[in-house]
Amino acid sequence: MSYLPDSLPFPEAASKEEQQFWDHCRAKRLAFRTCRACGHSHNPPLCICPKCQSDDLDWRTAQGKALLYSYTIVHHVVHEAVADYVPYIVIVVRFPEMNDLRFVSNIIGVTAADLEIEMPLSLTWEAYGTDMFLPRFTAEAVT
Amino acid sequence: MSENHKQACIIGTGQTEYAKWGGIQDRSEFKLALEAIQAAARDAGIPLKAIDGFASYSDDRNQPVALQVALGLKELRFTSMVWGGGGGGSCGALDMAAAAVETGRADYVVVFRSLAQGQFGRYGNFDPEGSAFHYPFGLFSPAQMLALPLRRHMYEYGTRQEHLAEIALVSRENAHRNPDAVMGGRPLDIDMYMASRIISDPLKLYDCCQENDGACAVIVTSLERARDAASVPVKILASAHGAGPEWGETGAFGGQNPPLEDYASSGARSVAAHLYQRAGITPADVDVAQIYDNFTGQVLMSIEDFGFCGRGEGGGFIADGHIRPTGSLPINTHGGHHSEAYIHGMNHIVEGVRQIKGQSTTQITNAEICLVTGGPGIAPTSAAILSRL
Repeated sequence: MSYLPDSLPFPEAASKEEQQFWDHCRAKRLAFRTCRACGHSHNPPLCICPKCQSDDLDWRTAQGKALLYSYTIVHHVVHEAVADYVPYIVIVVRFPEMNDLRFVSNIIGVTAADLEIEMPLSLTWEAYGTDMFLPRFTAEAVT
Repeated sequence: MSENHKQACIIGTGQTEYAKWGGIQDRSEFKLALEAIQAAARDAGIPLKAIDGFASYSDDRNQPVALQVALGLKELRFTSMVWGGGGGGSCGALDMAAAAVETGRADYVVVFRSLAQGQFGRYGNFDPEGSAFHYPFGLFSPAQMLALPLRRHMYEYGTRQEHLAEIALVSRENAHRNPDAVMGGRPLDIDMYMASRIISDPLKLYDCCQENDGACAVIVTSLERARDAASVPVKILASAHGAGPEWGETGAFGGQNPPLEDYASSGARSVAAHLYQRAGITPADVDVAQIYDNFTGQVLMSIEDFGFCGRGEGGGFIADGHIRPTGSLPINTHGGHHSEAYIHGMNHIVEGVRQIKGQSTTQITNAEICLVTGGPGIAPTSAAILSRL
């Protein structure tokens, strides 16, 4: 069972670039739009580099550390699909080696008491329906 | 100081009754807009047909062309809608109205917001037009999105739940004195606050504003026309709207990607800088402030970003009693969105006018300068400084 149900809405991609982002997820690849000219990564993906305005853009697989930047623990049910899933945790992940790019996701396998801002996270994938995988995170295993 | 006869002033305010969400069913949202505008014109002592412009924000559903016909206006010379939701444009609409009268594009511009939400939707509920970067992860509502920078603020600066509580409690105390306030007379204390259910941690129920039905409007004109008005004109000393770097679609309501040093903020720092520069004043000159209170955390961050204390010092500032009516920066003297009504910041502008005219139910002695802010955490956001002539 995934962290949140597949009945949660998945709005249509707002652009060709957003569609490409999700196509990568379908193949379990978390990749961010990255400028070939200046190296800046950004999200959500755009048709132009928001740093240098180059339109020579590529996709770069998420790399380096992933740190817990912020979180909220949702108790109040806003969508009926999550009625049996509250409380659940929504997180903001920061990628320090990708110019501090942040990404909204969930953390699984922890309780609220385990949450510590700046804790290292590991990427994991959960199926959403039969044709999509969602990038979620776990607390990085202590080695 | 020599007076610029083009200087924009507010010469009238009007409002309907305020009710809980869905509480006004006997007439349409459009009718509420008309009633607020009619009341504002009466207060200003001008005939309705003198109105020749409209400015609003947050995609207000009541279009100027419909208002023009219903109000029998001679002609329409100016219309303006400030893009963006979340009430970010409340003082932005005032900014547009001021720009219109100061450049002679119109003589009497109405700024308004009308909400009969029970006849439409609810802001805190699920909105089908969202992002795939939010919804599959269960991030749906403004409370959830704005809890994220607040949690970071608590981590970076040690901001505590008690600091947030003080904002809710001060708002309620002020509302008890205001007969228009929806939550007036309904007790709230620290124990009730702490025991209230969690909406999206760290935001509890009483950290979140109400949702309401009601409308308000103000009439903006130039100083030369204001001198003939029936009521005392209030000067729009300065107004500004806009957004700092990467606060557009990547702000707290979007990608959560504003610059790191701006993340745990209201997003209003650049607007604040332009506002004070235009007004030629400093935060120390502000006597009273109406701070857009969608959530308590964003009020705390707004207090920092408008320069009343340093970054990260909002919690201590509030704990020291500064935001109470007896403090150095009384806020939300009408009860704010939390306890008067959530008219998307338009009622904050109306309360700002009352303070300058000495007519608030929580009147601050010798209030000469009032800051009013638009929705924080969203882009564009906005603010205005109202003052005596």
